[in-house]
Amino acid sequence: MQKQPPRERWKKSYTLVLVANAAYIIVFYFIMKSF
Amino acid sequence: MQTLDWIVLIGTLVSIVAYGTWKTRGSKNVEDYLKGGNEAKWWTIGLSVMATQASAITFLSTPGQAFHDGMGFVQFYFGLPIAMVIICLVFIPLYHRLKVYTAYEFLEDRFDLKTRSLTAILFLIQRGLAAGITIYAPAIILSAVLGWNLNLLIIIIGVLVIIYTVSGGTKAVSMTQKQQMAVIFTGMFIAFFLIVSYLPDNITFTKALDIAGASGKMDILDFSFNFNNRYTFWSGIIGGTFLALSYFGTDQSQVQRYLSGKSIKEMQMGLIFNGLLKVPMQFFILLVGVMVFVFYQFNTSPINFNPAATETVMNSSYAEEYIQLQNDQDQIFLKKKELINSYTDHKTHAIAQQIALFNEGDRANRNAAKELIAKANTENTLRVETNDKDYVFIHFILNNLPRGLIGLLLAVILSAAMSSTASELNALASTTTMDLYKRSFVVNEDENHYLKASKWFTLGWGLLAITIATFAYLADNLIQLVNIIGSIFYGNILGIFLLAFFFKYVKGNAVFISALITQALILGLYFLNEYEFINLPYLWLNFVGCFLAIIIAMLIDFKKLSKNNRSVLFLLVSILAYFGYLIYKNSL
Repeated sequence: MQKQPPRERWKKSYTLVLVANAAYIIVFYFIMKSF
Repeated sequence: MQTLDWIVLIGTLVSIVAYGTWKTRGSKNVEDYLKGGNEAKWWTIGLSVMATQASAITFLSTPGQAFHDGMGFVQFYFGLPIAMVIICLVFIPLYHRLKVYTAYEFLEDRFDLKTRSLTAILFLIQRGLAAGITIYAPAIILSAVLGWNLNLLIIIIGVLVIIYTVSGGTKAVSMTQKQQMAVIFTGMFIAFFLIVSYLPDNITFTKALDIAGASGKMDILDFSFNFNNRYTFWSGIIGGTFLALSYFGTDQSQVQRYLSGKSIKEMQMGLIFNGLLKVPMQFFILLVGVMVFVFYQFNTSPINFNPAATETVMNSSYAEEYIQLQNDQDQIFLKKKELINSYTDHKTHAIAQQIALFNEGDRANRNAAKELIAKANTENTLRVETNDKDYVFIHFILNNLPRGLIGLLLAVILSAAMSSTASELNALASTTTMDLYKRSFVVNEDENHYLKASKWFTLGWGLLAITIATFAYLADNLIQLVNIIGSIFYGNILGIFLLAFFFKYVKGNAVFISALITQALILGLYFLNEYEFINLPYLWLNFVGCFLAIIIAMLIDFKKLSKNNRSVLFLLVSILAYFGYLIYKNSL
């Protein structure tokens, strides 16, 4: 019997983790430019 | 090592093992033993996932990586948060709904028994070997620098892990990992602040970063698309996502960590926790390495940090040349130190350029020393490691940290080794019991029988890991060999799982045949690279394996594909063809 992934809703925490990591990369860019 | 160091080291390790064993004794049934009774909270899952990934080599090798090559390695982790979100959205809901014990159990539900068994066996081969290396890799380094007996150290690490993993199963693994992570974080923070405090009085943290920047150590991001640069933004985002998806989504040593969660929400939160903290944690460990680099701009350092390598070359006909290189290195150090002092007063481009020139000289000298060590190896028919990046941080610890803290930092390294090994043994036992023994060999026994079997399999895999670690010295560059074996299997396994999740028309037979063909092709590509017919670094085998597994299965079941699926197939074939063209161009 086939089982497909149930529809899982997007959560705020997923946005948070992606935005936080994008922010890390931006911070790394500025650190790199400063030193 | 002073008495106080021994007390701290033995006290830390033994108390964690004893507490974990005592607190989690007496598992009632298989669910309790293999899924920790589904009681874990999100922070336990998050820490457990991080502790499983962070092996001793992470803490020995990563600062050394930063010492030699700077902070760029952090890019390797850029794909991890993307993978965490995909796993939360797709993998976890399915695993949770089917109440599986292992990731491979899901494959029988979706495809058939033979696909489940094949994938489980691929995992057992790869992870069984890796468990041996997780013990061997730190043991060989610690025995070289501390003069400890290698086999005795391997047996001590292995037996300590076996005690609590056999006794308490998943619950014991998670509980000890929380304490081990506390020791690891405490030790690393103390080490970081001590290194900064050891810098000369006029060197503030910002000035230390200036010095590191002038030496190219703060070049964190590399946006070039070049196969020869292993760590770039693109390889981190693309390759890193594939690698993290395979590792966290399909490797039982990680899957088992979040399957022990109390609810689907706790499991997802645990992985989000990992996605938030992983990049800063790696950044911090690399920063420790960069601070060690700055420390050695004001203090002399050996031309090669591996004491066994120095001993080998000093006992060969190349000893004089080696001493000359060390003297040249000391001259470079003195001149560079003067320049660095000027640079901290007047941050000019001209001085930075001169520092860069001296750094090139430093690097050339260190490479020349490695060549001499390699020649001394040939002369004495030895196989001592010429690359010293694993020895930089431990050399700093042993020669500079105060009494008691050396013991704590050694506890950090051994805790990391134990936490990774425990997860591996736990996962190997679960897969052997649930995917092979219970499913195909001894089918109708009671709970107690399978609980006992799980414990015996944990013990068996533990003893096998110790045996592999004991004989690991026989193979040249075994750590790389295990990474290569991982890359050969991982892509294929991820491809099978992605087919299961996203391509509903593809059936079991097609996937099984595709997995066998893909494995053969990946092995072929590996050997073509080995014999220099093509130039394909082994980490890319993950990517190629995944695409091949999906494409071949779709081609076998082509008639069943919808119009949309055929478009997806065309897109995947185009991407792989373009990648093939890049390999061809790169191989010319």
